[in-house]
Amino acid sequence: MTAGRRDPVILALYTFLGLVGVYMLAPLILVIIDSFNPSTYGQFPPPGLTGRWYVHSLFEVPEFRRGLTNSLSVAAAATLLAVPLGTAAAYGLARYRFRAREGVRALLLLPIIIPTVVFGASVFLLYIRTGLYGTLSGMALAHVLLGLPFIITIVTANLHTLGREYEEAAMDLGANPLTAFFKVTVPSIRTGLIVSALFAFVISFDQVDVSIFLARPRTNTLPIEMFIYAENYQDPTLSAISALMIAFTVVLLLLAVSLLRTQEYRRLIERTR
Amino acid sequence: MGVLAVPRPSRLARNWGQQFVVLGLVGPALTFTLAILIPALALLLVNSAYHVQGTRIVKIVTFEAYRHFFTDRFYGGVILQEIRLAVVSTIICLLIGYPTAYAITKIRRPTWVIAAYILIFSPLLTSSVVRAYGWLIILARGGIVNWMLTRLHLVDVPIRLIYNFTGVVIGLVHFLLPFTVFPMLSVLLRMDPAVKEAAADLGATRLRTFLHVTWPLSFPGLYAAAQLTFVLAMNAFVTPTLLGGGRVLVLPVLIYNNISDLQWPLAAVEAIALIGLTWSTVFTSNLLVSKALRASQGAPA
Amino acid sequence: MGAPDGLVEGPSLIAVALRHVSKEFGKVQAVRDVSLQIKQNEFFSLLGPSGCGKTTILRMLGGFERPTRGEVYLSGRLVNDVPPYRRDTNLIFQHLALFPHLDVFDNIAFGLRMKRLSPSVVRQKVLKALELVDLAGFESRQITQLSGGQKQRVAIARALVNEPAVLLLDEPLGSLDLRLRMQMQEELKEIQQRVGTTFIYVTHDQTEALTMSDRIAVMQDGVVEQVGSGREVYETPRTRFVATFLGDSNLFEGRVVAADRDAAIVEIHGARVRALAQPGAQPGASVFVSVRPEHVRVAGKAEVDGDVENWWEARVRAVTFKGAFTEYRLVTPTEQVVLAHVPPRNGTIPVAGDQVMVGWRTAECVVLTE
Repeated sequence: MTAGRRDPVILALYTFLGLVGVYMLAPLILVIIDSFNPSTYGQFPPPGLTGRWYVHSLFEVPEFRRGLTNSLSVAAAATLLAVPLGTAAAYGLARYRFRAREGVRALLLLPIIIPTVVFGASVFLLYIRTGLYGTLSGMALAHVLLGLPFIITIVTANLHTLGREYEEAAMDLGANPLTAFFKVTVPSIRTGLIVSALFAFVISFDQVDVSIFLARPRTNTLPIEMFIYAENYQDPTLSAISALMIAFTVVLLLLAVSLLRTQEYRRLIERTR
Repeated sequence: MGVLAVPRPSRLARNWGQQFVVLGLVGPALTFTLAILIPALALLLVNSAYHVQGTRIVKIVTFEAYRHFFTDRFYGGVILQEIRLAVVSTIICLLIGYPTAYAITKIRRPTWVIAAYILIFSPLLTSSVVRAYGWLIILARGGIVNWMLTRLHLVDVPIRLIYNFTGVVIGLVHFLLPFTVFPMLSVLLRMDPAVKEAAADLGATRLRTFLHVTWPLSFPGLYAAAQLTFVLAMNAFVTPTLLGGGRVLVLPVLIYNNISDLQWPLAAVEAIALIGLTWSTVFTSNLLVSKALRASQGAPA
Repeated sequence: MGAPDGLVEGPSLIAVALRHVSKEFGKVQAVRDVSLQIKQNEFFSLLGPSGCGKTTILRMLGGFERPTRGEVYLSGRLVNDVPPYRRDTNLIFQHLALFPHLDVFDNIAFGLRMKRLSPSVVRQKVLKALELVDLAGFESRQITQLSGGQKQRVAIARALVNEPAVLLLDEPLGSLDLRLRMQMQEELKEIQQRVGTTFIYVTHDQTEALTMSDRIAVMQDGVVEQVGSGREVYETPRTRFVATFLGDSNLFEGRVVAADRDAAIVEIHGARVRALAQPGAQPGASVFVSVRPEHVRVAGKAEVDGDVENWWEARVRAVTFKGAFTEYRLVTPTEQVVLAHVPPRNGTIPVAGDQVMVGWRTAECVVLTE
């Protein structure tokens, strides 16, 4: 872009983009700065540096630790359930023509068309009757519903891009549909499946609007504990735990990227074999 | 002709076979979704009709909550406030989002494109609580914004930026912007560069190319972005709660409060109102836009 | 049982048979009442423009589509309801569909492993297949590292390693450049003769079909218009479509005025032409007469050759040099446009505006009743 650099319009656009980037990252960066702030009311600039909020949030507030355990188990369960369910549904929608297909698609996407809070309140009314209220499994089931539309959308798009030809080639070579799916389709849409799993996990892990209706204090997830803490107190404890959550998200993202990379590396190694 | 007659399975059987496969694939996810969603929404309807006595829900159908919701002026005020909040946030998001998406399409180097995507979309991966909390710190009395304003002598005493409408808008725009940029970006990227080149080739200046080619062609993206942003703004819960500090009341906040206070029928009515409000907005805007499109293209329905 | 539709007879020699096969996709009729018999070890081409139903027929043979009506037989067995993975056919896909996540060896071994052959047998067969397609030593290459031609060969090896009774090929050479395509055509023909498998080849390229095939079925709008050897369909087309789809053709509309066992006399706007007899060409029938441009002679009035039965007067309208031949565009006094491809020759060459004679022999002139 040597031409672009001298171009005032492009330059203005890039400057604007940079400012928007600052705006987007500001809360995350300020949270990290505040987590080391010795001032209890988040004074800026920080008068010094301290790590005590990390110690406090990790070891002195048991709710956070319990919340983290709850969040992780709910998110893991929701992901493990939603990815196979969503992938199967996506395969059915992408590869078969049937009369009710568009209707089925619309019904499967319904959970994200309903306002999250309304979804939470309705599921709460159901769970209170069925005994699922305040259970981690109930929460995981609700999160499956929230993750499914994303997984179905991503995997369907991947299957459409892949096309039928590879699966047909596998069947032509003697693989039954199931073998063709696992030997050819799954490796080919690996990226989409990893992204789907990441989405399902993050959606569940960050969920507040729905979860808050379904949890008892004992089954509060980490974001709910943070939400309650933010409503009642203001000190950098929450910044510390937020910084840890940001770090966790970054780690998760890097993990997903590296999962894709190892596949690339493997290919490179095989090339030199 | 030496063809052996092999008993042929009936065509119906094969069709049935395929139907079973489809059922096996789509069935579990569908059953799962409907088994939770349908009874949950049905209970919402049922509860909305029940009667509340003190803090006890009496299972008599009185529609009292509806009467209360539609006669008390308080709720009208909440709905107006919510719509105002959603409209203001959506307009700001569009004003920021369009040049942002446009700028991203102008980047040539792949690394910078990825960097731009990370900047705009990575906040999506962090919890809304973390983001709202971040704004609480930034906009607080002793926060960075007030520090800068006083250092620059723009204000003498720190101004109030949280627990009011302004604070909620700032947080909400941050929450919504990725959703605004995404549909616009996909439309802008799908735009055939040849169209622009053709316009330039025909002697159009860059401004004219933008005004007569890019801008009208990006309309579908703008529309989709506006709709998505508006609906998400109407449904926002965490941001108005934390940044509004109980002073900026919107339906999602009321629903949560009423469920907590055991006012389930009222919460159910509010929930139904929220669904009605968002869905009717989407429906009427779709209708208007498709009508406008048809009118502008002069094509039959 | 006889041979329905006047096709080839002999039960054990038939690799593939279609009997009154139709395929509909919703309201679209992709294939209409097609009957074909393809012999063992035959190189058979389905030739036609895109959308003529040739690929649909191939997919029905491979088991990917089920005929709406009619029967498909493979080696004498009715296979309408047999899925692809239980058929003794292999298909080479248009875009090859080589698995990008597997290397060359694993791609070729895929079918053998599905049959649960022992690893040593798999290895031996894969290496032999690689040798067959001249790719020995390529087994650990990634698909993305191969050139277009190498990918074609891997696809051929992947299919042939399973020793199918019938190999189906869906325009696999379409994406190659012209020179490579011609080279692959030769190799395909050679491989086919070496392995002795029935090849059914779908293409829209007439040269490709003529180069490789023992027999060709020319298709249009879901219907097989003509089946025959390349020479047959080229030299004695039975329909107007076949005449124009395979190479250039002069088509003259006329009426049969007389016909005997050997020839038919057709009147074309006052001019008479003696053409090969056709069963349907009875006196009074309106027909078309087809003459290939390379059969049209262009001569001065003095040079008219008595051996050539048909001579018309014409005026040269345009002359275009085309390398191997010169193309003349001529007009007769009755406003018939005649195209002539004349090989290079010595002597005076007619130029635009010259009055000349155009002529062709009875044997080079076909009456088309459809």
